[in-house]
Amino acid sequence: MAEPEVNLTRKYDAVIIGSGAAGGMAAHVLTSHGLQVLLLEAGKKLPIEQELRSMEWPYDNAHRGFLPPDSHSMSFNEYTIRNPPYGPGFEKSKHLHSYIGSSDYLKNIVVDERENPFTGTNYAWVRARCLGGKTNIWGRLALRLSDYDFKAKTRDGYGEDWPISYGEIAPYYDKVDLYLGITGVKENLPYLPDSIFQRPTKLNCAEVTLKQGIQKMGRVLTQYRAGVTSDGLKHNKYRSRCYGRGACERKGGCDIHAAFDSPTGLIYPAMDTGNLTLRTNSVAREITVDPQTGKASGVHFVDSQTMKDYNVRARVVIVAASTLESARLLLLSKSRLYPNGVANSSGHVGHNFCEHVMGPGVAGRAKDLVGKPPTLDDGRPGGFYLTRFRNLAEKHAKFIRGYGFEGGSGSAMFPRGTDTHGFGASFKEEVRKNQGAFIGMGAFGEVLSRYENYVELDPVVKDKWGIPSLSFHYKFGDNEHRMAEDMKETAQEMFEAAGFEIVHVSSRVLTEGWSIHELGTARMGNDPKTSVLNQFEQSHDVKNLFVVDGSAFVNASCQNPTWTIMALCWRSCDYLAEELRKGNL
Amino acid sequence: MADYIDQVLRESFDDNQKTLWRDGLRLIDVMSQHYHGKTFVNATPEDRIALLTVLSDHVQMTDLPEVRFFVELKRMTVTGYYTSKIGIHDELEYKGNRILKEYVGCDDQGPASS
Repeated sequence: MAEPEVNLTRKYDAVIIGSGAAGGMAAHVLTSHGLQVLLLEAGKKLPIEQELRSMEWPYDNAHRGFLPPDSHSMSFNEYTIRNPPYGPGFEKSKHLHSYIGSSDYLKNIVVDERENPFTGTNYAWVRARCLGGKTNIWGRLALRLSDYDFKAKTRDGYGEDWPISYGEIAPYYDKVDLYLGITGVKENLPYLPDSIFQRPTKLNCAEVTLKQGIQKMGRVLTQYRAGVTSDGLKHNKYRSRCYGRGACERKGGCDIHAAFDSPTGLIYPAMDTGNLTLRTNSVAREITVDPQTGKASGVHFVDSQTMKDYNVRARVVIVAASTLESARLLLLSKSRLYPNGVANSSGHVGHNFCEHVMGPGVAGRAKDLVGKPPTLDDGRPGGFYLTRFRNLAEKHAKFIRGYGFEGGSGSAMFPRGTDTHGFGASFKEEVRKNQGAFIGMGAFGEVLSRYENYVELDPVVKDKWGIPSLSFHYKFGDNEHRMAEDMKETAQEMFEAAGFEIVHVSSRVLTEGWSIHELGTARMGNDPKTSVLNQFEQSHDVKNLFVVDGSAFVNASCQNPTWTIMALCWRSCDYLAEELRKGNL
Repeated sequence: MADYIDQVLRESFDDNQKTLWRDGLRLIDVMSQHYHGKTFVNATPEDRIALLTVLSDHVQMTDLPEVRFFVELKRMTVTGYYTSKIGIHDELEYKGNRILKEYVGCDDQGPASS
């Protein structure tokens, strides 16, 4: 890779803050337009293949794949009864991780909670500070939104419509599909548009049974739509096609990069243009503003290792630090011109914070598979997706919006069913004969975007670099709890329709943040009084400032956001490049 | 299995966990003396299984440290066993974690959804 030296004395065409799905996409699009771009990442560049070690057997790992004893990751119970930043009680463990950091393979990817504290209401805030951010470990479910989501207010009267429609973003979804690769099966559903799919993975037998069982209820189960290249990508030399090696179920990433991640999918190819400069260990403190013009002038950042401060100048500033970090950075960027933070004349930065509620689900057993010889059910990037069915044609009496289920079935490296009663030979026999028969699924539902759910800067608490922390004011509301009740009931009803023996029904709603789909803190809109960004993710107030990550979302929908983040970002960056060329920024 | 559990306890930063094991092992002997007049390791295999069955049938009684110990013992045994070579390859005959040409799945993929 041709990697130009970082030169902080020059003025870049654009500086991008954050190297995840959004920052990587901005780097790809802007460098392909010939712009000279500097990409700042707060974390390290990790030797990611050495971290992930996808094919390592548990018995070859010093702690069987679990965290070393000097580290602790938060459990649901701890989130529920302890207060952020969750420090007390763990004095003896050297490192404290969010719930996702519970394996030896993720310990250097997720942040140490103590270095990155926050206050307020409980929130399972998962942050990955390293090149590529959370794309190194994402769940890979890559779904499109539709006008059921973009025009949800028109349909049910709640919230705001997006300033774009499906027709405007569809070509950009196509570009993302073709550039990054996605597997799946066409279903022609108006509420869940198809992508341009590569070869799909197959369902296993219990999953087919469920698909058939719910068909008579008018419900749809389809193969997991994974942001994974199953046929390979001729234009990308950094990524291999999927070879079905089977560690996909383990919380962790894909070290052959068949699953999309931002470094190999977007950033390394962007570097090959010669137009991209990368600086890691660069924690942004503030977006600087020219007091004469009111425009953004660059970024003030601190080197995470040396603690030295730097400034970089750019014609355009692009914020892609993740929904909550981007809101934090805008709020931190206070000046005489922008006393409430840059791009915040509306007062909406940090507000309208939304995501997906999860937890309710069901586990069952396909009785016809009990006692069958072991099968190979790993080796694919995901099991199934059971699509939304609420509030499409009919209105539900108790809640608005919808939810879908993610699930899977079959044998796994660590068997399901180890909560079986008893011990010894009979216990082992029971686990052995049931191992391939389990099927389970859990729901992801839309959390309504509400002004009252917000983050702000904490007046006292600061992170390791002396930067004010976020304080959370965020709780699920009645609509989410009523929806969660329905998730549990429909999950059970569908497993019964498929003839499965129900093993466990979960009604427990997981801690806010658990879905790692936080969205909405700098939403788009046509009205500068009630939105932060226009339809091109451009600040209403500061024309050369763009916020291209999940914070731009107007609502959460119930589909996983990564593919939409990237499609929107591509569209915005095409616009940005054109406006810059015209001299409008 | 004992080696794995020894390692976890030796390296553990959690004193409560260590105390649970010390108390648990002691209480198992108290129980064994009460039921069989012998320490646990000196009891017959049948007597040992009988004692563990009592604990296994009362796992909801978590106010008792010996029950909490049994639950923890079982959890760690299960974890250690099914992450070992014997557990993964011999017992469960796990087929994955190798390069696959194509995921096989079900022969019949069912009818189209729409």
